[in-house]
Amino acid sequence: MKVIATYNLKGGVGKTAAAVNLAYLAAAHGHRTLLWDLDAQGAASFYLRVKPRLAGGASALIEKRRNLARAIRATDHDGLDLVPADFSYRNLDLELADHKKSTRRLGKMLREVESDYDLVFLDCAPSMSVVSENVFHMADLLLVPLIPTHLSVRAYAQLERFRERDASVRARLVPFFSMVDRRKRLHRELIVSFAREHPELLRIFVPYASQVEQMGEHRAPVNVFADASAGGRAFRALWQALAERLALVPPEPA
Amino acid sequence: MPRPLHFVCQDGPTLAALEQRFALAATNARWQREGIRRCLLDSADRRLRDAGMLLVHDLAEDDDRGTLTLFDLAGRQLVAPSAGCQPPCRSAALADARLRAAVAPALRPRTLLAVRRWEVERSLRPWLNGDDKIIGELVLERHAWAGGTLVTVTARPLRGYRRELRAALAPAFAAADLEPQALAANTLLDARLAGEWDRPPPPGTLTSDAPVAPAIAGRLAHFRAVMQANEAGIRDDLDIEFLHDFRVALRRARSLVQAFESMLGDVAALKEGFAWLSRETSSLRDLDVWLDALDDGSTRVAPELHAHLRARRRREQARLARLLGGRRYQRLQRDWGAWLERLAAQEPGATSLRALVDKAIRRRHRRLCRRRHQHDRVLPPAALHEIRKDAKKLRYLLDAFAPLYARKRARHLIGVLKRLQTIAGAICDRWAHAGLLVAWHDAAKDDALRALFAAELEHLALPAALDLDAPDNARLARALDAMCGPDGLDSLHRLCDKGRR
Repeated sequence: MKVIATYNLKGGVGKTAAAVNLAYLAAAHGHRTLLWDLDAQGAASFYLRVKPRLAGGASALIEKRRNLARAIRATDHDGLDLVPADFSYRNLDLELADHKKSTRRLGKMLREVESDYDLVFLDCAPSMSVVSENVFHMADLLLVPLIPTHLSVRAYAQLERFRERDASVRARLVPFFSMVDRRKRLHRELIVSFAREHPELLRIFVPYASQVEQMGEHRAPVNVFADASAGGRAFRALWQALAERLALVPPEPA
Repeated sequence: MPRPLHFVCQDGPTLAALEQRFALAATNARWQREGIRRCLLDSADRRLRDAGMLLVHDLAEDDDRGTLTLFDLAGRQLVAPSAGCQPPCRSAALADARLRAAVAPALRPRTLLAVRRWEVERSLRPWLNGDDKIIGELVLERHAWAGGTLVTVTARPLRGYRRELRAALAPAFAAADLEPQALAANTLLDARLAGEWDRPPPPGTLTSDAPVAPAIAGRLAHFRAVMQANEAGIRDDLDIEFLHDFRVALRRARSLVQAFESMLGDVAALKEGFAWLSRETSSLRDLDVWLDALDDGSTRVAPELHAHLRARRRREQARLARLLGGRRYQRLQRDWGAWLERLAAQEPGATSLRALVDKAIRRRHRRLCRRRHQHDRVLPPAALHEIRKDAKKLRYLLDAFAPLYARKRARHLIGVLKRLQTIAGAICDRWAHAGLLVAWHDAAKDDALRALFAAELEHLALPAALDLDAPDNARLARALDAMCGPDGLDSLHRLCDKGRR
């Protein structure tokens, strides 16, 4: 089981869109996929038409009154399941902090369903907290969407520094640019300079496209309703690059 | 995967009528109709069913591959649908890796056969909740077979939505007057169509003080039933394991008769019949083993020889099918049956069964050890073959009378013998192939064929004898020591002296 987290300190950079679309594409390629919506806003759950509600709330999960497997909901898409968000996730940090090995707790919970899934995507909230530290420890790869602005690039630098400080973090950082508008000079220049300094950057640019925004209207991944659009093509290319980076072997054709 | 909800309509309505009963529920999804030819795939002795699995092969019209889905007996999907196959086939022929991994341990090395067939008219629709989220699927099926029809309704919830689907469907189910059903439609149909597999009856329970003759007769009758249960499969040639099971039952019967010959009366005709049947079936089995190794890639031969083996096998199989329908075989079975009836009716003697079996086991083990100790560290292949045969006979005795002994000790000894048989078997198979080649070479009139056999013999490059000190034979040497050395003797003493139940 490989774990991929979409993470950025900064909000509104396309983490949820990336997580939902990539999870959908992974499932469509035959990988048994789980998406864990860790953001109290519940946007990923909303996109996949699953009620953002968890019986007993976050505390029931953390205190093991309810195991993770029972919280899983199937989505409308074959092979893609979801752990829905819950508004109580806003207190997840506090819940975790009360327990021993607080930075490994979520990873331990995920191991319960290890045999059921090939890939797990974590859609994280924009913060640097105990939850984030859990994510850093359980993920194989941190997929970091960046919009080509100075603040976003600065947030990535902060994340790099944080990761370097903690040697036990095993996740690799893999940034990519999203919400790119090629007509803007700033976007073009920032991408070029960032790419020069960061060889780990995925050379896939998700455009600022209306189809991605329409996910909320359709409540479905872009590739379900606009596969041939610029956004759909970008997410397909992103999935391809990610699969190569993770050396994912496609399951045998059914 | 959540457990589905099953219902049965005893009055057998049409699908259109059922669709109408469920039409009022709030969903804009449409019914999808399809006609399917369905069959259950399993080995002839129903190994998947015994392991709690049903492998369903659905073939739509104009489709010769179809889809395969693995369910448990409660109708829960264990492996997602995947591309079908063309039975009869082995589990290795299944395209989907997960399905292969799920069925192979239960099935190996049996062939998948279509054990049940029927027609299904199916209508299905997704069930959506108020958020237009799919929470499950409603499947209406009208099963039709020569003897009747059955209509089933199955609600398949998506993961995490069983309770919600159940609540949503409750009014519709109540209105439709459906009867809840614990079993899945396929399980129900499987049982209704032909009942259980015609399994040979078990040999009955054993106790140390059971009357000797009826106890042995019970075991022999079981082996006879196993042989009879496999006859049709050998004739139809659907799975090479039919012949294997037939021969194993024959060998078990033969070794039992040999072991207790002194107290069974005149068994000369029976022994001769067993020996004849064993001879007549051995060449087909040798060819099966060779071709099976070629099919799974564990050995290779020239394509011409491969084709020759196939042709020979076809001839041998046809010959054996004729033999099973022939007068001599029928007479053997009839005489054997009559003899068993007489044996079962014999007056009980004074000897205890346990004492008799102990003696037979010790005698067989002594013979095995003597055979082993005739040779030191260099073993001629013929000697290994005889050792293997003795080990098999000892194991058959232990298997047949295991209920008389402490389970742990009997299982330990059987395990040691099994290991020896497996290791020696792989070596002996190669010698058996060489033996066939030599015989064919000597009998062949065609020079090209003779050259082909000679080339393969040379390629096999079998040594004149086995050096037990060579690293390649280390496993064999260990297995022989475990059975014929002090440890083997110790295990035997523990079994016979202390292993009383």
